[in-house]
Amino acid sequence: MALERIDHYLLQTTDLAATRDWYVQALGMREGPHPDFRFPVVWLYLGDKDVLHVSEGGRNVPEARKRYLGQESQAEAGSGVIDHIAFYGTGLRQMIEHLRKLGIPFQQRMVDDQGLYQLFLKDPVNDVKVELSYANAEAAAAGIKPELTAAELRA
Amino acid sequence: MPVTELNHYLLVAKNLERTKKFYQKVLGLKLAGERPDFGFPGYWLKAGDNICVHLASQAPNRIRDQFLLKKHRKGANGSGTVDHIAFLAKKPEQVRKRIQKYKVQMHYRSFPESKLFQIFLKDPDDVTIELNFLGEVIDPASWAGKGSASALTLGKSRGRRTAVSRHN
Repeated sequence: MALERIDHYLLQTTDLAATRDWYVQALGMREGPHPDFRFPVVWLYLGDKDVLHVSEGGRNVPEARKRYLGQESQAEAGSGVIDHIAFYGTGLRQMIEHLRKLGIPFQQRMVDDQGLYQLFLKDPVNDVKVELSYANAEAAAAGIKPELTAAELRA
Repeated sequence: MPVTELNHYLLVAKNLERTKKFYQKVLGLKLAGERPDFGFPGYWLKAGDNICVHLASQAPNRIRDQFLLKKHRKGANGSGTVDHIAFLAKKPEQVRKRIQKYKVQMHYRSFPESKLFQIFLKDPDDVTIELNFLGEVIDPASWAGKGSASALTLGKSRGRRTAVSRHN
């Protein structure tokens, strides 16, 4: 069940290209591969690790993004553009049981081509969205199924 | 590469104790004992060996607002409570020059007693980014004018209160 590390954060911006360019130029990040979410994203890396995911925000958010991720805020500036913060852990089944026992609602998602299984929940005090990500293999081994996969957004 | 990894996020919590409890009980993060005296109350929480969440409180605090470059009001919620995202970085001189080249305003924060130097800056969507240079002792006064919009040093004064000195 242990969370091992902070994994990434997701920014929603009205200007995907300008945000990408800034992180590349000012902070030295590198644009790298990302799964096909059926909505535009940019993944930015430090070394071999994707640390920042950028998608479109504000008023013109694609429907596929809303279905997969929801939209926390219409903000176009300031920390409201941070959609969520993600952690990486092991022990998916234990975490699901733990959250159910505590009565904390969560959503389950899967990114097929990345082998990633995700739980999304809210910090109930501040209403901040937190993502917990696990290896897909854990879900398969425990027979756990998501409500929605990234591939299903094609439909 | 000077900016090396993602480190933590800072959340200005509506209720500091309840938020701490959420991260401990629900997510299983561990309370870190070694949080420096920032001059405002808060907690560091760890996943594995690394601090990944820094909690502060929405209770009015002048040093917090001065330090974080914005006035935090009570009642904020959602991702608006996330104040900044922090990275670890190396080679402060190189990083400073790079940022300065793109004419981005920087704010320097120095904790000589904790051997910590920080650069704060804003991304194009006005999100605050914090770069942490661990083990670096830099006198912000010597960096005055070099792309710096403000520079603060935090240290112990004679009494118990945290001393903040401004350099520009």
